[in-house]
Amino acid sequence: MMSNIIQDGTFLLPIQIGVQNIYEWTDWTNAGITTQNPAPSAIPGDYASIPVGGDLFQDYSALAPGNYTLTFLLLGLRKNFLYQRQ
Amino acid sequence: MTSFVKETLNFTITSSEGFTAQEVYFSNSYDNPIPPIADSINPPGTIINIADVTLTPTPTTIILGNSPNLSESDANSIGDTISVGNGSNDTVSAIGSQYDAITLGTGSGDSVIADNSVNDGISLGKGAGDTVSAIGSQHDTITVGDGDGDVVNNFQGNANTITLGKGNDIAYVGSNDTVNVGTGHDSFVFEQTNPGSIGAVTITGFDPNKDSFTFSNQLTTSVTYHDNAQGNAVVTVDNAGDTITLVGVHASELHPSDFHFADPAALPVPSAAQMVADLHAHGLLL
Repeated sequence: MMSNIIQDGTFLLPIQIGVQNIYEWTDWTNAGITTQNPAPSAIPGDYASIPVGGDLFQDYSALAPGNYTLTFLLLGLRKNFLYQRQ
Repeated sequence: MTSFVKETLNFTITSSEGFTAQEVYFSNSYDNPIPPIADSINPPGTIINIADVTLTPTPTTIILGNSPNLSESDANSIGDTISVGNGSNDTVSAIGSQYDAITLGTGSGDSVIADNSVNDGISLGKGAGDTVSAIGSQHDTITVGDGDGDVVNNFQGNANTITLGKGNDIAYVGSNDTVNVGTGHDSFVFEQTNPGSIGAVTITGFDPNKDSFTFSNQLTTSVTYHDNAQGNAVVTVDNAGDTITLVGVHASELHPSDFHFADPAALPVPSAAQMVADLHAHGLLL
């Protein structure tokens, strides 16, 4: 079974604030992103709630060339896109 | 409260893009696509909830036919399936791969280069002179079919499972490997030179009348053997915990001629050298 590149995909670890971490989620803008416990039925772990002004990210080791699939469950979507930082 | 909705994004990273992807970013600040990123704030009170995030490589399947001299390079792949037909002298290079399933059909002279791979499943069909290089690999499952002269090189590997078919074959055994021996005169080479670098190897099907061991004389120049509680012979290589358990063989069946000790420089040249030459021949290495 292949491992998930996202190390805390179910938000079981605390969300840190404004740090350049590599394995945990970071509320970079200190906008008050919170972890809600637990996620609704049939969804594993907790979920992150992002208010206006919040930017939530997680770093990981640079991806090797290849094809990838990112999936997530979303509630309250406006728009989303994948940003590949250079 | 409405329900969470599953979103899926597929993307490809190529080596020619000139940048790396190393971050997943969920934003409730920016509302315009790049470039440029415009600082457009969502309406007050907007809440975005995110749950169950996964990012995984998307496995690909590569199928090649039955022609001879086919080659495929799939380095650093994860979860790929590579299937090659029944031609001879086919070559697959999957250095650094993980969880790949690599299958080559019948045909002589086939080779797989999967050095530093992890959890790969590698299977070669019947055919003489097939070779697998899995130097430094871990938790691979390697199977070679019937045919003389097959070589599996797992030097510096760890915890791999190697199965040899009928024929006179050679296996360079890694630490803590499990080996299943076919019929034929098989040789098991331990090139390790540091005490403790063999670990606990298990070999099933060893025939003391036909098979043999060769150790680096930098590691040891003698071994001892005794039966364990299960009645299987345990070969003690050194005082650092290096042992080889021979399932189904009693220590009384072993004799000194089963064990050889040689200067590493004088040991048979690992097949990797020939396989690297094959890679050059196939244009997979420059």
